[in-house]
Amino acid sequence: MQRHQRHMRGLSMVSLLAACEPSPGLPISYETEHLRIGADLEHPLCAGDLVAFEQIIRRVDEELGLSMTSKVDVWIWSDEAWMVVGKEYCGPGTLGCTSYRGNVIYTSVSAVEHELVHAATPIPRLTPFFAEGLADVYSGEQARFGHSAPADALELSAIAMGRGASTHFVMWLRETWGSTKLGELARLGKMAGSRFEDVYGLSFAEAQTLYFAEAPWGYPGLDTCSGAPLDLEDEFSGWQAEVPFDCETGQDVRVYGIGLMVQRTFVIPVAGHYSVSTDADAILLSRCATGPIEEPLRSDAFSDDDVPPTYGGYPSEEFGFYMGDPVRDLYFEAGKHQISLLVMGYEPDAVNLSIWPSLGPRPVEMEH
Amino acid sequence: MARRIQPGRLGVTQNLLIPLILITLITLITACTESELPLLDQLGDPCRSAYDKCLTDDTVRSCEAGVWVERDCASVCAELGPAYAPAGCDRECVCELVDPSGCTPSEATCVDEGTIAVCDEGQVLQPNSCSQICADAALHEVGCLTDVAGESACWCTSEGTGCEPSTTPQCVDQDTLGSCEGGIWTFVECSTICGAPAACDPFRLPAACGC
Repeated sequence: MQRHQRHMRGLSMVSLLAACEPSPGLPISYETEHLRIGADLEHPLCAGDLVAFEQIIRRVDEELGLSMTSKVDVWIWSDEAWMVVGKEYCGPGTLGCTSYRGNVIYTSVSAVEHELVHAATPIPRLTPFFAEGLADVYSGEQARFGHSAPADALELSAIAMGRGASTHFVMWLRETWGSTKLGELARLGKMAGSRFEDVYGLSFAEAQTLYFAEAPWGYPGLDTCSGAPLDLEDEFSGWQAEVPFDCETGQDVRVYGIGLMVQRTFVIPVAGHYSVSTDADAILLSRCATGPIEEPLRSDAFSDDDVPPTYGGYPSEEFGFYMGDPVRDLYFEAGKHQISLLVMGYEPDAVNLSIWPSLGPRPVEMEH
Repeated sequence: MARRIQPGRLGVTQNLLIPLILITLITLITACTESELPLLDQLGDPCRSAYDKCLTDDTVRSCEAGVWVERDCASVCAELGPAYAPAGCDRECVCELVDPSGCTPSEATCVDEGTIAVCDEGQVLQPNSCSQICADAALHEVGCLTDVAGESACWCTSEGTGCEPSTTPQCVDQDTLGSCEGGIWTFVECSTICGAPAACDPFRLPAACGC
Protein backbone atom coordinates (compact mmCIF):
# COMPACT_ATOMS: atom_id res chain seq x y z
CA MET A 1 0.00 0.00 0.00
CA GLN A 2 2.90 2.32 0.69
CA ARG A 3 4.15 1.74 -2.82
CA HIS A 4 0.70 2.44 -4.21
CA GLN A 5 0.71 5.76 -2.47
CA ARG A 6 4.07 6.67 -3.91
CA HIS A 7 2.79 5.72 -7.33
CA MET A 8 -0.32 7.84 -6.97
CA ARG A 9 1.64 10.85 -5.88
CA GLY A 10 3.79 10.62 -8.92
CA LEU A 11 0.88 10.51 -11.28
CA SER A 12 -1.55 13.04 -9.95
CA MET A 13 -1.89 16.72 -10.55
CA VAL A 14 -3.28 19.55 -8.51
CA SER A 15 -6.31 21.57 -9.37
CA LEU A 16 -9.08 23.53 -7.69
CA LEU A 17 -11.40 22.07 -5.10
CA ALA A 18 -14.94 21.07 -5.81
CA ALA A 19 -17.56 23.29 -4.20
CA CYS A 20 -20.02 20.48 -3.58
CA GLU A 21 -20.34 16.82 -4.32
CA PRO A 22 -23.04 14.15 -4.49
CA SER A 23 -23.36 11.09 -2.26
CA PRO A 24 -21.33 8.16 -3.52
CA GLY A 25 -24.21 5.76 -3.03
CA LEU A 26 -21.99 3.07 -1.55
CA PRO A 27 -23.33 0.80 1.20
CA ILE A 28 -21.91 1.20 4.68
CA SER A 29 -19.85 -1.96 5.15
CA TYR A 30 -18.02 -1.33 8.40
CA GLU A 31 -18.76 0.59 11.54
CA THR A 32 -16.44 1.52 14.39
CA GLU A 33 -16.76 3.74 17.43
CA HIS A 34 -16.24 6.91 15.39
CA LEU A 35 -16.69 5.87 11.76
CA ARG A 36 -19.20 4.52 9.28
CA ILE A 37 -17.27 3.22 6.32
CA GLY A 38 -18.41 2.54 2.79
CA ALA A 39 -15.80 1.16 0.43
CA ASP A 40 -15.46 0.56 -3.28
CA LEU A 41 -12.45 -1.73 -3.03
CA GLU A 42 -11.45 -5.03 -4.58
CA HIS A 43 -10.53 -6.33 -1.14
CA PRO A 44 -12.00 -6.24 2.36
CA LEU A 45 -10.85 -3.97 5.14
CA CYS A 46 -9.50 -6.09 7.97
CA ALA A 47 -10.09 -5.76 11.68
CA GLY A 48 -6.53 -4.43 12.00
CA ASP A 49 -7.30 -1.64 9.54
CA LEU A 50 -10.30 -0.55 11.58
CA VAL A 51 -8.24 -0.73 14.78
CA ALA A 52 -5.55 1.42 13.15
CA PHE A 53 -8.16 3.98 12.05
CA GLU A 54 -9.51 4.24 15.59
CA GLN A 55 -5.99 4.47 17.02
CA ILE A 56 -5.36 7.54 14.88
CA ILE A 57 -8.51 9.19 16.15
CA ARG A 58 -7.67 8.26 19.73
CA ARG A 59 -4.11 9.60 19.39
CA VAL A 60 -5.40 12.95 18.16
CA ASP A 61 -7.78 13.07 21.13
CA GLU A 62 -5.13 12.08 23.68
CA GLU A 63 -2.36 14.29 22.35
CA LEU A 64 -4.17 17.34 20.98
CA GLY A 65 -7.31 17.25 23.09
CA LEU A 66 -9.43 17.39 19.94
CA SER A 67 -12.15 14.92 19.11
CA MET A 68 -14.93 14.17 16.69
CA THR A 69 -18.30 15.45 17.80
CA SER A 70 -20.26 12.78 15.94
CA LYS A 71 -19.70 9.81 13.72
CA VAL A 72 -18.06 10.47 10.39
CA ASP A 73 -19.02 8.80 7.13
CA VAL A 74 -15.92 7.59 5.30
CA TRP A 75 -16.14 6.70 1.60
CA ILE A 76 -13.10 4.85 0.36
CA TRP A 77 -12.12 3.95 -3.22
CA SER A 78 -9.22 1.95 -4.55
CA ASP A 79 -6.39 4.11 -5.85
CA GLU A 80 -7.32 3.08 -9.40
CA ALA A 81 -11.01 3.92 -8.97
CA TRP A 82 -10.11 7.18 -7.28
CA MET A 83 -8.35 8.38 -10.40
CA VAL A 84 -11.77 8.26 -12.05
CA VAL A 85 -14.07 9.46 -9.26
CA GLY A 86 -11.73 11.63 -7.18
CA LYS A 87 -12.33 14.83 -9.08
CA GLU A 88 -16.08 14.45 -8.62
CA TYR A 89 -15.81 14.52 -4.85
CA CYS A 90 -12.65 16.48 -4.08
CA GLY A 91 -11.39 17.99 -7.31
CA PRO A 92 -8.73 16.80 -9.71
CA GLY A 93 -5.28 15.95 -8.45
CA THR A 94 -6.36 15.21 -4.88
CA LEU A 95 -6.06 11.95 -2.99
CA GLY A 96 -8.92 12.69 -0.60
CA CYS A 97 -10.87 15.39 1.19
CA THR A 98 -12.82 15.94 4.40
CA SER A 99 -16.00 17.96 4.77
CA TYR A 100 -16.69 19.27 8.27
CA ARG A 101 -20.12 20.54 7.28
CA GLY A 102 -21.13 17.19 5.87
CA ASN A 103 -19.17 15.21 8.47
CA VAL A 104 -17.87 13.07 5.66
CA ILE A 105 -14.58 11.89 4.16
CA TYR A 106 -14.06 11.02 0.50
CA THR A 107 -10.74 9.38 -0.09
CA SER A 108 -8.52 6.99 -1.98
CA VAL A 109 -7.42 4.06 0.13
CA SER A 110 -3.91 5.51 0.28
CA ALA A 111 -5.06 8.68 2.02
CA VAL A 112 -7.53 7.33 4.58
CA GLU A 113 -5.26 7.92 7.57
CA HIS A 114 -4.46 11.49 6.51
CA GLU A 115 -8.13 12.37 6.09
CA LEU A 116 -9.00 10.77 9.43
CA VAL A 117 -6.74 13.28 11.17
CA HIS A 118 -8.50 16.14 9.39
CA ALA A 119 -11.83 14.72 10.52
CA ALA A 120 -10.55 14.26 14.07
CA THR A 121 -9.42 17.91 14.24
CA PRO A 122 -12.72 19.61 13.41
CA ILE A 123 -11.49 23.18 13.18
CA PRO A 124 -12.82 24.31 9.80
CA ARG A 125 -10.58 27.33 9.19
CA LEU A 126 -7.36 26.06 10.70
CA THR A 127 -4.39 27.57 8.88
CA PRO A 128 -3.59 25.08 6.08
CA PHE A 129 0.09 25.01 7.01
CA PHE A 130 -0.82 23.54 10.39
CA ALA A 131 -3.85 21.53 9.20
CA GLU A 132 -1.79 19.64 6.63
CA GLY A 133 1.22 19.30 8.91
CA LEU A 134 -0.94 17.84 11.67
CA ALA A 135 -2.64 15.47 9.23
CA ASP A 136 0.69 14.18 7.96
CA VAL A 137 2.26 13.82 11.39
CA TYR A 138 -0.69 12.22 13.17
CA SER A 139 -1.49 9.89 10.28
CA GLY A 140 1.97 8.40 10.82
CA GLU A 141 4.03 9.94 8.02
CA GLN A 142 7.74 10.34 8.58
CA ALA A 143 9.09 13.87 8.24
CA ARG A 144 12.10 15.32 6.44
CA PHE A 145 13.59 18.82 6.54
CA GLY A 146 11.88 20.70 3.73
CA HIS A 147 13.16 22.58 0.71
CA SER A 148 11.39 25.82 1.65
CA ALA A 149 11.09 27.99 4.74
CA PRO A 150 8.04 27.48 6.96
CA ALA A 151 7.49 31.24 7.14
CA ASP A 152 7.19 31.41 3.35
CA ALA A 153 4.50 28.70 3.39
CA LEU A 154 2.60 29.84 6.47
CA GLU A 155 0.02 32.02 4.73
CA LEU A 156 -0.39 29.89 1.63
CA SER A 157 -3.24 27.57 0.73
CA ALA A 158 -2.91 23.80 1.03
CA ILE A 159 -2.44 23.69 -2.72
CA ALA A 160 0.22 26.38 -2.95
CA MET A 161 2.35 25.56 0.05
CA GLY A 162 3.80 22.20 -0.90
CA ARG A 163 4.20 19.68 1.89
CA GLY A 164 7.61 18.95 3.31
CA ALA A 165 8.08 22.14 5.34
CA SER A 166 4.77 21.93 7.21
CA THR A 167 5.10 18.26 8.15
CA HIS A 168 8.64 18.59 9.45
CA PHE A 169 7.97 21.89 11.25
CA VAL A 170 4.87 20.53 12.99
CA MET A 171 6.78 17.40 14.02
CA TRP A 172 9.54 19.63 15.39
CA LEU A 173 6.96 21.60 17.41
CA ARG A 174 5.62 18.33 18.81
CA GLU A 175 9.05 16.99 19.69
CA THR A 176 10.29 20.29 21.15
CA TRP A 177 7.30 21.58 23.11
CA GLY A 178 4.96 18.62 23.24
CA SER A 179 1.58 17.84 21.81
CA THR A 180 -0.55 19.80 24.28
CA LYS A 181 0.72 23.11 22.91
CA LEU A 182 0.14 21.80 19.41
CA GLY A 183 -3.50 21.24 20.37
CA GLU A 184 -3.68 24.78 21.78
CA LEU A 185 -2.28 26.10 18.52
CA ALA A 186 -4.79 24.15 16.45
CA ARG A 187 -7.69 25.57 18.46
CA LEU A 188 -6.65 29.05 17.30
CA GLY A 189 -7.95 28.08 13.85
CA LYS A 190 -7.18 30.65 11.20
CA MET A 191 -5.27 32.69 13.80
CA ALA A 192 -2.79 29.87 14.44
CA GLY A 193 -0.07 31.68 12.51
CA SER A 194 -0.66 35.23 13.67
CA ARG A 195 -1.15 34.23 17.32
CA PHE A 196 1.61 31.62 17.38
CA GLU A 197 3.39 33.61 20.12
CA ASP A 198 0.36 33.29 22.44
CA VAL A 199 1.04 29.56 22.63
CA TYR A 200 4.80 29.27 22.31
CA GLY A 201 6.02 32.54 23.81
CA LEU A 202 8.03 33.44 20.72
CA SER A 203 7.01 34.68 17.31
CA PHE A 204 6.76 32.36 14.35
CA ALA A 205 9.86 34.03 12.86
CA GLU A 206 11.79 33.44 16.08
CA ALA A 207 10.62 29.84 16.18
CA GLN A 208 11.77 29.38 12.61
CA THR A 209 15.25 30.70 13.50
CA LEU A 210 15.43 28.14 16.30
CA TYR A 211 14.08 25.46 13.98
CA PHE A 212 16.73 26.16 11.36
CA ALA A 213 19.43 26.01 14.03
CA GLU A 214 18.46 22.80 15.78
CA ALA A 215 15.91 20.70 13.86
CA PRO A 216 17.22 17.30 12.77
CA TRP A 217 17.21 15.97 9.22
CA GLY A 218 14.26 13.70 9.84
CA TYR A 219 11.79 12.14 12.22
CA PRO A 220 10.38 8.62 11.99
CA GLY A 221 6.62 8.26 11.65
CA LEU A 222 4.62 7.95 14.85
CA ASP A 223 3.60 4.39 13.98
CA THR A 224 7.06 3.19 13.03
CA CYS A 225 7.78 -0.24 14.48
CA SER A 226 4.61 -0.39 16.54
CA GLY A 227 4.09 -4.11 15.92
CA ALA A 228 3.85 -6.51 18.86
CA PRO A 229 7.19 -7.98 19.97
CA LEU A 230 8.19 -11.50 19.04
CA ASP A 231 8.99 -13.66 22.01
CA LEU A 232 12.71 -14.03 22.63
CA GLU A 233 13.52 -17.56 23.68
CA ASP A 234 17.07 -16.80 24.70
CA GLU A 235 20.06 -15.04 23.31
CA PHE A 236 21.28 -18.11 21.43
CA SER A 237 18.09 -19.62 20.09
CA GLY A 238 16.44 -16.56 18.61
CA TRP A 239 12.75 -16.22 17.98
CA GLN A 240 10.04 -18.58 16.87
CA ALA A 241 6.36 -17.83 16.40
CA GLU A 242 3.20 -18.98 14.72
CA VAL A 243 1.35 -15.90 13.54
CA PRO A 244 -2.37 -16.15 12.82
CA PHE A 245 -3.90 -14.27 9.88
CA ASP A 246 -7.61 -13.67 10.21
CA CYS A 247 -8.77 -10.57 8.41
CA GLU A 248 -12.13 -10.55 10.12
CA THR A 249 -10.98 -10.88 13.73
CA GLY A 250 -7.22 -10.35 13.94
CA GLN A 251 -6.63 -7.00 15.62
CA ASP A 252 -3.19 -6.72 14.00
CA VAL A 253 -4.08 -8.06 10.56
CA ARG A 254 -4.15 -5.41 7.82
CA VAL A 255 -4.76 -5.48 4.12
CA TYR A 256 -1.57 -5.05 2.10
CA GLY A 257 -1.91 -4.94 -1.68
CA ILE A 258 -3.42 -8.23 -2.82
CA GLY A 259 -2.97 -9.94 0.53
CA LEU A 260 -2.70 -9.55 4.26
CA MET A 261 0.05 -8.26 6.51
CA VAL A 262 0.98 -8.70 10.16
CA GLN A 263 3.87 -6.79 11.71
CA ARG A 264 6.10 -7.90 14.57
CA THR A 265 9.16 -6.38 16.20
CA PHE A 266 12.27 -7.88 17.76
CA VAL A 267 15.56 -6.62 19.14
CA ILE A 268 18.81 -7.91 17.70
CA PRO A 269 21.21 -8.06 20.67
CA VAL A 270 24.47 -8.23 18.71
CA ALA A 271 25.13 -7.16 15.12
CA GLY A 272 25.79 -10.04 12.76
CA HIS A 273 24.26 -12.56 10.42
CA TYR A 274 20.94 -14.10 11.38
CA SER A 275 18.95 -16.76 9.57
CA VAL A 276 15.34 -15.96 8.79
CA SER A 277 12.83 -18.61 7.76
CA THR A 278 9.11 -18.35 7.25
CA ASP A 279 6.37 -19.99 5.25
CA ALA A 280 4.77 -16.59 4.64
CA ASP A 281 4.66 -15.64 0.97
CA ALA A 282 7.06 -12.74 1.53
CA ILE A 283 8.58 -10.64 4.29
CA LEU A 284 9.58 -7.03 4.68
CA LEU A 285 12.39 -6.21 7.10
CA SER A 286 13.66 -2.91 8.41
CA ARG A 287 15.74 -1.55 11.26
CA CYS A 288 13.71 0.78 13.43
CA ALA A 289 14.60 4.40 13.93
CA THR A 290 15.12 5.10 17.62
CA GLY A 291 14.39 8.82 17.57
CA PRO A 292 15.10 11.95 15.55
CA ILE A 293 17.53 11.27 12.72
CA GLU A 294 20.29 13.85 12.95
CA GLU A 295 22.59 12.87 10.10
CA PRO A 296 21.31 13.22 6.54
CA LEU A 297 21.32 9.87 4.78
CA ARG A 298 22.15 9.12 1.17
CA SER A 299 19.88 6.68 -0.59
CA ASP A 300 22.91 4.55 -1.48
CA ALA A 301 24.13 4.43 2.10
CA PHE A 302 23.35 0.79 2.70
CA SER A 303 23.98 -2.39 0.79
CA ASP A 304 21.20 -4.42 -0.78
CA ASP A 305 22.22 -7.34 1.40
CA ASP A 306 21.84 -5.40 4.61
CA VAL A 307 18.53 -4.86 6.36
CA PRO A 308 17.84 -1.17 5.69
CA PRO A 309 16.71 1.41 8.24
CA THR A 310 13.08 2.51 8.14
CA TYR A 311 14.17 6.05 7.34
CA GLY A 312 16.17 4.97 4.29
CA GLY A 313 13.22 5.74 2.02
CA TYR A 314 10.89 8.72 1.65
CA PRO A 315 7.99 9.37 1.73
CA SER A 316 7.33 5.66 2.26
CA GLU A 317 9.55 4.03 4.81
CA GLU A 318 12.24 1.73 3.48
CA PHE A 319 12.39 -2.01 3.93
CA GLY A 320 14.11 -5.05 2.56
CA PHE A 321 11.77 -7.26 0.56
CA TYR A 322 12.50 -10.97 0.60
CA MET A 323 10.66 -13.94 -0.75
CA GLY A 324 11.40 -17.39 -2.04
CA ASP A 325 14.25 -18.76 0.07
CA PRO A 326 13.39 -21.29 2.80
CA VAL A 327 16.30 -20.03 4.92
CA ARG A 328 17.87 -16.64 4.26
CA ASP A 329 20.98 -15.33 6.00
CA LEU A 330 20.91 -11.57 6.44
CA TYR A 331 23.15 -9.06 8.17
CA PHE A 332 21.47 -7.13 10.97
CA GLU A 333 22.78 -4.18 12.92
CA ALA A 334 22.06 -4.35 16.64
CA GLY A 335 18.77 -2.79 17.73
CA LYS A 336 15.04 -2.99 17.25
CA HIS A 337 13.76 -4.33 13.95
CA GLN A 338 10.40 -4.77 12.34
CA ILE A 339 9.28 -7.71 10.24
CA SER A 340 6.13 -7.61 8.14
CA LEU A 341 4.77 -11.02 7.20
CA LEU A 342 2.76 -11.09 3.98
CA VAL A 343 0.35 -13.70 2.67
CA MET A 344 -1.48 -13.64 -0.63
CA GLY A 345 -5.28 -13.56 -0.52
CA TYR A 346 -7.63 -12.70 2.29
CA GLU A 347 -8.62 -16.08 3.70
CA PRO A 348 -7.71 -17.04 7.30
CA ASP A 349 -4.26 -18.55 7.53
CA ALA A 350 -1.32 -18.98 9.89
CA VAL A 351 2.37 -18.71 9.15
CA ASN A 352 5.50 -19.81 10.96
CA LEU A 353 8.45 -17.55 11.58
CA SER A 354 11.85 -18.39 12.96
CA ILE A 355 14.89 -16.13 13.36
CA TRP A 356 18.16 -17.32 14.85
CA PRO A 357 21.88 -16.48 14.77
CA SER A 358 23.42 -17.95 11.62
CA LEU A 359 25.65 -20.98 12.05
CA GLY A 360 26.75 -21.72 8.52
CA PRO A 361 29.31 -20.00 6.29
CA ARG A 362 28.92 -16.23 6.12
CA PRO A 363 31.18 -13.28 5.26
CA VAL A 364 33.01 -11.73 8.18
CA GLU A 365 34.61 -8.32 8.01
CA MET A 366 38.00 -7.71 9.50
CA GLU A 367 37.93 -6.05 12.92
CA HIS A 368 39.39 -2.55 12.74
CA MET B 1 -14.30 -2.14 19.21
CA ALA B 2 -14.50 -2.59 15.46
CA ARG B 3 -17.70 -4.02 14.10
CA ARG B 4 -18.10 -5.24 10.59
CA ILE B 5 -21.51 -4.82 8.97
CA GLN B 6 -22.58 -6.96 6.08
CA PRO B 7 -22.75 -4.97 2.85
CA GLY B 8 -26.22 -3.63 2.27
CA ARG B 9 -27.31 -3.57 5.90
CA LEU B 10 -27.41 0.19 5.94
CA GLY B 11 -28.28 0.60 2.31
CA VAL B 12 -30.51 3.52 3.10
CA THR B 13 -27.46 5.75 2.84
CA GLN B 14 -27.05 4.77 -0.76
CA ASN B 15 -29.68 7.22 -1.87
CA LEU B 16 -29.11 9.79 0.78
CA LEU B 17 -27.95 12.98 -0.86
CA ILE B 18 -25.99 15.13 1.50
CA PRO B 19 -26.59 18.84 0.93
CA LEU B 20 -23.15 20.28 0.82
CA ILE B 21 -23.48 23.94 0.10
CA LEU B 22 -20.58 26.18 0.97
CA ILE B 23 -18.89 23.09 2.21
CA THR B 24 -15.55 23.23 3.95
CA LEU B 25 -13.15 20.94 2.26
CA ILE B 26 -9.78 19.87 3.59
CA THR B 27 -7.96 18.13 0.83
CA LEU B 28 -4.99 15.87 0.64
CA ILE B 29 -3.15 17.05 -2.38
CA THR B 30 -0.55 15.18 -4.28
CA ALA B 31 3.07 15.74 -3.37
CA CYS B 32 4.02 16.85 -6.85
CA THR B 33 2.49 20.26 -6.33
CA GLU B 34 4.02 22.92 -8.52
CA SER B 35 4.83 25.39 -5.80
CA GLU B 36 6.03 28.95 -6.25
CA LEU B 37 7.65 28.84 -2.85
CA PRO B 38 11.21 30.14 -2.77
CA LEU B 39 13.60 27.27 -2.24
CA LEU B 40 16.24 27.09 0.44
CA ASP B 41 18.99 26.53 -2.11
CA GLN B 42 21.21 29.61 -1.86
CA LEU B 43 24.58 29.74 -0.13
CA GLY B 44 23.90 30.66 3.49
CA ASP B 45 20.42 29.12 3.50
CA PRO B 46 19.66 26.47 6.12
CA CYS B 47 19.90 22.88 4.89
CA ARG B 48 19.95 19.24 5.91
CA SER B 49 21.35 17.24 3.02
CA ALA B 50 23.92 14.59 2.25
CA TYR B 51 24.06 15.65 -1.39
CA ASP B 52 26.32 18.31 -2.91
CA LYS B 53 25.55 20.22 -6.10
CA CYS B 54 28.00 21.57 -8.66
CA LEU B 55 28.36 25.34 -8.72
CA THR B 56 31.28 25.45 -11.18
CA ASP B 57 33.64 22.91 -12.74
CA ASP B 58 35.56 22.65 -9.49
CA THR B 59 33.26 23.87 -6.73
CA VAL B 60 30.10 22.53 -5.11
CA ARG B 61 27.37 23.74 -2.83
CA SER B 62 27.64 21.54 0.25
CA CYS B 63 25.54 21.34 3.42
CA GLU B 64 27.91 21.93 6.33
CA ALA B 65 26.68 22.34 9.92
CA GLY B 66 23.15 22.94 8.63
CA VAL B 67 24.05 25.72 6.18
CA TRP B 68 24.76 25.68 2.44
CA VAL B 69 28.41 26.61 1.85
CA GLU B 70 30.68 26.63 -1.18
CA ARG B 71 33.51 24.10 -1.23
CA ASP B 72 36.19 23.38 -3.78
CA CYS B 73 36.45 19.86 -5.09
CA ALA B 74 40.10 19.62 -4.06
CA SER B 75 39.10 19.75 -0.41
CA VAL B 76 36.14 17.41 -0.96
CA CYS B 77 38.35 14.79 -2.61
CA ALA B 78 41.10 15.25 -0.03
CA GLU B 79 38.64 14.06 2.62
CA LEU B 80 38.58 10.70 0.86
CA GLY B 81 42.31 10.27 1.45
CA PRO B 82 45.58 10.72 -0.46
CA ALA B 83 44.57 8.20 -3.14
CA TYR B 84 42.07 10.62 -4.68
CA ALA B 85 42.45 13.79 -6.73
CA PRO B 86 39.76 16.14 -8.09
CA ALA B 87 38.65 15.57 -11.68
CA GLY B 88 35.90 18.06 -12.29
CA CYS B 89 32.28 18.22 -11.22
CA ASP B 90 29.32 16.18 -12.49
CA ARG B 91 26.36 16.76 -10.15
CA GLU B 92 28.89 16.27 -7.35
CA CYS B 93 32.69 16.47 -7.24
CA VAL B 94 34.34 13.75 -9.29
CA CYS B 95 37.30 12.26 -7.43
CA GLU B 96 39.61 9.95 -9.36
CA LEU B 97 42.34 7.65 -8.18
CA VAL B 98 45.79 9.17 -8.31
CA ASP B 99 47.05 5.83 -9.61
CA PRO B 100 44.31 4.43 -11.85
CA SER B 101 46.15 1.13 -12.11
CA GLY B 102 46.23 0.73 -8.34
CA CYS B 103 43.60 -0.67 -6.04
CA THR B 104 40.62 1.25 -4.67
CA PRO B 105 40.91 2.16 -0.98
CA SER B 106 38.84 -0.06 1.37
CA GLU B 107 38.18 -2.55 -1.45
CA ALA B 108 38.97 -6.17 -0.60
CA THR B 109 40.47 -8.78 -2.92
CA CYS B 110 41.10 -12.49 -2.46
CA VAL B 111 44.83 -13.09 -2.84
CA ASP B 112 44.48 -16.84 -2.47
CA GLU B 113 42.07 -19.31 -0.88
CA GLY B 114 42.98 -18.28 2.64
CA THR B 115 44.14 -14.69 2.29
CA ILE B 116 42.30 -11.45 1.74
CA ALA B 117 43.96 -8.17 0.92
CA VAL B 118 42.39 -4.83 1.74
CA CYS B 119 43.47 -1.72 -0.14
CA ASP B 120 44.70 0.99 2.22
CA GLU B 121 44.49 4.77 1.81
CA GLY B 122 47.78 4.79 -0.08
CA GLN B 123 46.50 2.26 -2.66
CA VAL B 124 48.65 -0.49 -1.18
CA LEU B 125 47.15 -3.96 -0.66
CA GLN B 126 47.45 -5.16 2.92
CA PRO B 127 47.10 -8.96 3.14
CA ASN B 128 45.32 -10.64 6.03
CA SER B 129 44.84 -14.27 6.91
CA CYS B 130 41.23 -15.47 6.84
CA SER B 131 42.01 -17.95 9.59
CA GLN B 132 42.98 -15.06 11.85
CA ILE B 133 39.95 -12.97 10.86
CA CYS B 134 37.65 -15.91 11.58
CA ALA B 135 39.42 -16.70 14.83
CA ASP B 136 38.95 -13.10 15.95
CA ALA B 137 35.21 -13.68 15.50
CA ALA B 138 35.40 -17.02 17.37
CA LEU B 139 34.65 -18.87 14.13
CA HIS B 140 36.41 -21.34 11.87
CA GLU B 141 37.74 -20.45 8.43
CA VAL B 142 35.93 -21.47 5.26
CA GLY B 143 38.13 -19.40 2.96
CA CYS B 144 38.30 -16.21 0.94
CA LEU B 145 35.35 -16.06 -1.44
CA THR B 146 34.01 -13.55 -3.95
CA ASP B 147 30.21 -13.29 -4.20
CA VAL B 148 28.13 -12.72 -7.32
CA ALA B 149 28.26 -8.98 -6.77
CA GLY B 150 32.07 -9.17 -6.97
CA GLU B 151 32.66 -8.44 -3.29
CA SER B 152 35.38 -10.49 -1.63
CA ALA B 153 35.41 -11.46 2.01
CA CYS B 154 36.63 -14.11 4.38
CA TRP B 155 33.85 -16.59 5.00
CA CYS B 156 33.67 -18.24 8.38
CA THR B 157 31.48 -20.89 10.01
CA SER B 158 30.40 -21.94 13.45
CA GLU B 159 31.05 -25.60 12.59
CA GLY B 160 33.66 -27.00 14.92
CA THR B 161 33.55 -24.06 17.31
CA GLY B 162 32.54 -24.25 20.93
CA CYS B 163 28.97 -24.14 22.15
CA GLU B 164 27.06 -24.41 25.38
CA PRO B 165 25.95 -28.03 25.79
CA SER B 166 22.43 -26.83 26.58
CA THR B 167 22.16 -25.00 23.24
CA THR B 168 19.29 -26.34 21.16
CA PRO B 169 19.80 -27.59 17.58
CA GLN B 170 19.34 -25.06 14.77
CA CYS B 171 19.08 -25.29 11.02
CA VAL B 172 22.29 -24.34 9.27
CA ASP B 173 20.56 -24.10 5.91
CA GLN B 174 17.68 -25.80 4.16
CA ASP B 175 19.35 -29.22 4.24
CA THR B 176 21.64 -29.21 7.29
CA LEU B 177 21.07 -29.44 11.04
CA GLY B 178 23.56 -28.00 13.51
CA SER B 179 23.75 -29.60 16.97
CA CYS B 180 25.94 -28.99 19.96
CA GLU B 181 27.70 -32.30 20.45
CA GLY B 182 30.10 -32.47 23.37
CA GLY B 183 30.44 -28.71 23.45
CA ILE B 184 31.25 -28.45 19.71
CA TRP B 185 28.94 -27.33 16.91
CA THR B 186 28.45 -30.30 14.62
CA PHE B 187 26.74 -30.06 11.24
CA VAL B 188 24.99 -33.07 9.73
CA GLU B 189 23.10 -33.28 6.43
CA CYS B 190 19.45 -34.17 7.00
CA SER B 191 19.73 -36.80 4.28
CA THR B 192 22.35 -38.53 6.42
CA ILE B 193 20.17 -38.37 9.52
CA CYS B 194 17.05 -39.51 7.71
CA GLY B 195 18.65 -41.94 5.28
CA ALA B 196 16.77 -40.24 2.47
CA PRO B 197 16.50 -36.71 1.07
CA ALA B 198 15.09 -34.46 3.81
CA ALA B 199 14.96 -30.81 4.77
CA CYS B 200 15.72 -29.08 8.03
CA ASP B 201 12.56 -27.75 9.69
CA PRO B 202 13.29 -24.48 11.54
CA PHE B 203 9.73 -24.23 12.83
CA ARG B 204 10.03 -27.22 15.12
CA LEU B 205 11.05 -26.57 18.68
CA PRO B 206 13.86 -27.46 18.70
CA ALA B 207 14.72 -27.45 15.00
CA ALA B 208 14.97 -30.94 13.49
CA CYS B 209 15.25 -32.77 10.21
CA GLY B 210 11.88 -33.59 8.71
CA CYS B 211 12.47 -37.26 8.10
